[in-house]
Amino acid sequence: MRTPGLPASIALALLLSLTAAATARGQFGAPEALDGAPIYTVLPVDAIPAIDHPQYVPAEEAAAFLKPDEPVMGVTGGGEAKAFSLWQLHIHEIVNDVIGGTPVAVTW
Amino acid sequence: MYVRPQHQEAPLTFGVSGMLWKDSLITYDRQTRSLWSHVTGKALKGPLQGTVLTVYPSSMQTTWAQWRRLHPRTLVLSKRGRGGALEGMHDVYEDYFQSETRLGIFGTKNPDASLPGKEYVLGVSAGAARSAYPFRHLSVQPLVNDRVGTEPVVVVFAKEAATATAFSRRVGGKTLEFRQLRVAGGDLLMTDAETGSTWRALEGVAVVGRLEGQRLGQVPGTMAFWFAWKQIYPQTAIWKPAWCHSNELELMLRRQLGCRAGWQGSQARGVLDLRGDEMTQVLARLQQRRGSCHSEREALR
Repeated sequence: MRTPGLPASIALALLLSLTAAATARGQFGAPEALDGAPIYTVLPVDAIPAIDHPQYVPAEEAAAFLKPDEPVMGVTGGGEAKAFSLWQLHIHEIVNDVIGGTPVAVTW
Repeated sequence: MYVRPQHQEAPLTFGVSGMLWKDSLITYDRQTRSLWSHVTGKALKGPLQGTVLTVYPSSMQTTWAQWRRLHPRTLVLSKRGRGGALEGMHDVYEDYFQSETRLGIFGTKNPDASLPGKEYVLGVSAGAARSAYPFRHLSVQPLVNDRVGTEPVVVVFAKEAATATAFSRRVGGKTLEFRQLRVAGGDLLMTDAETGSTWRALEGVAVVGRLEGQRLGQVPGTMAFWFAWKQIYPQTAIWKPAWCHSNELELMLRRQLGCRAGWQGSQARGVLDLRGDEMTQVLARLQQRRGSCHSEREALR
């Protein structure tokens, strides 16, 4: 964005504020701060994609792509047990799922 | 981990908003576009503002090997991403987790120097009370009978798997005390003092004895960095072992001298390997300190 006649620092500030308005804070109408702690916009909405339709494999198959000391989040309910690799949760942050009939959000 | 509540006859689904608050994710629900704090489970803004999600307690952060041992027929989230390639095959945050000084992405300062910012804690919630169980203390005393607020809890720590979990000690109208954390046949076990029943410690289920079949209710516990937990819950308590010295060898010797302990482990064998004169010296030191240890513990009650 060219703004002839303005110092570079002001041009940059204008650019950043326009960018911010177009991102998450603008879309959600989020306040600048809550409880005295600021809300920072770091990424566009859904830049980190939550998983909405998780696919599962049995333990024997999973053993091929999990390391023994790989950190996992383990969940149980209604006789079911499910494991989520934390390395994978880093990429998605949220899995919307159902366990033992209870809808859950696996978050890390 | 939270239960997704019903909203107009379907469960809410959550996405990542791209915003951070107190170094933690802000999520949003797709149905109402309300914003939620991932740590407190509370809706911060939007049509559902003020709603608090129910924690789903039956979850645990552990290693794959440990989880598979506990649940041999577990399912696992597939790592096949879009296009069929495997994803999540390494830790993108590895440098961050290994750094002792980087707190969050904005260079947050440690809000409370009682613990290092990057110390792992199990953050336990019961009612309005919050308590942090630092991994450094759990490494020394991996079985803790405690109270979080008014709730009697037992915290179990499996060091090799870096797994900590918390249960309520209330069973059938009584409050139990747990002892003798030990590994037997590859399983972590403990015993309750009231009935002598044997419990699988990471699952909170009794497998032998009068209470066989009983299950402990899991209390919500989150593994977190100290700096992040303290930011969200400045009122949190920090648990410390009620010992004068967090020395593993002295801990074992205190047991032998009759001080109460809730832990038994491979280190016990190390005690027997001491030469006679070393053992005598350590015992003599302990005898000297024993008086002050007891008086400190009385003061802590």
